[in-house]
Amino acid sequence: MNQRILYKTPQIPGAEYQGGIAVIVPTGELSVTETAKKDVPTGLPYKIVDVSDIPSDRTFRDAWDIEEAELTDGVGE
Amino acid sequence: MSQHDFNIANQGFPAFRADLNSGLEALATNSSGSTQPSTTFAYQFWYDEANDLLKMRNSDNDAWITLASFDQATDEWEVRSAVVQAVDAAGLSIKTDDGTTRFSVDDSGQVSFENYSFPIADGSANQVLQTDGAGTLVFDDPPAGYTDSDALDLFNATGSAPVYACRAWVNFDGTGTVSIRDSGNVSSITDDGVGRYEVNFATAMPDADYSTVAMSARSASSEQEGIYINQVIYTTTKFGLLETNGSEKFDPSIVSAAVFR
Repeated sequence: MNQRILYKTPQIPGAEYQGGIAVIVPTGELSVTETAKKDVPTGLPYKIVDVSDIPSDRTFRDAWDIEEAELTDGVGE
Repeated sequence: MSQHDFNIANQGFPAFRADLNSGLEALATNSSGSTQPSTTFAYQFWYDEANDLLKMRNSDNDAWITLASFDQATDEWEVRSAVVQAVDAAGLSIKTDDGTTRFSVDDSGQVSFENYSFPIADGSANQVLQTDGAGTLVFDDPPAGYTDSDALDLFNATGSAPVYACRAWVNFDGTGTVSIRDSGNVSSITDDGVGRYEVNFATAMPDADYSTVAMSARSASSEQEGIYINQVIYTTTKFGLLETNGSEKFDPSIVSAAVFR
């Protein structure tokens, strides 16, 4: 799969980790769209991008961010 | 169209000859016409031109029995009857134009297609139709289902302890551009950040009481502690994994996980 699905991790009071970007790596068992609808948490908007758009340097992985306005490809079901 | 009342009246010679010829033509053409003959006789044929049906008058001379339907455009015909009966003990056959019998019913009532024959007698309740591979179908008990023993043999297991198969598995690389090497019943993994992943099932587990086995590759340059289940993400549709290196999270080059239920 050469595509990735991005969404913003919700802020959960009391949770160990807050916010940031979640990057879904599809296996190909389902289509990218099916995977996005199923695996993105319900109600959260997502963006499907090419894998080349994801930085390979994870030094600052937890600081990655994306504008909410860019998550225009659908909403998790 | 030629119909006649088949009654030659007293008349002069020329009229007699014309009347006789008209009657013979009606006989030759099976009294064809778009309406039935005005005078009818028991066992008389009538070709109904309006419907292209060949009919025969019944013995009581009060109704027509349809024998066959004709397609005059293609010069084909069809039998029109509720019953077809064999003329002798040879039974009935249907052949293709090359003369090959494709379907037959013999005198005992056995129905056969070109390559196999059905049994005459019914089987017992819940029996199924089985073939001997040589053209004979018989009713017999269905093959026995798989047993626990068969399952053990399948997995090369010895002893009598039951086998519980893996319901989902994945092997992925958590470094660089996170990627999945291979998987089964996993729709995706979610990279939530350094050392934090979720494994999403393609088909959900029946409940969240499944057992997860996970391992990860140890980095030669770190004091990596190991991989753990993220207790806040453990549902029928996914589970979370945490990889720690002391107090910090860590991205391993190999994460493998398998789910049993």
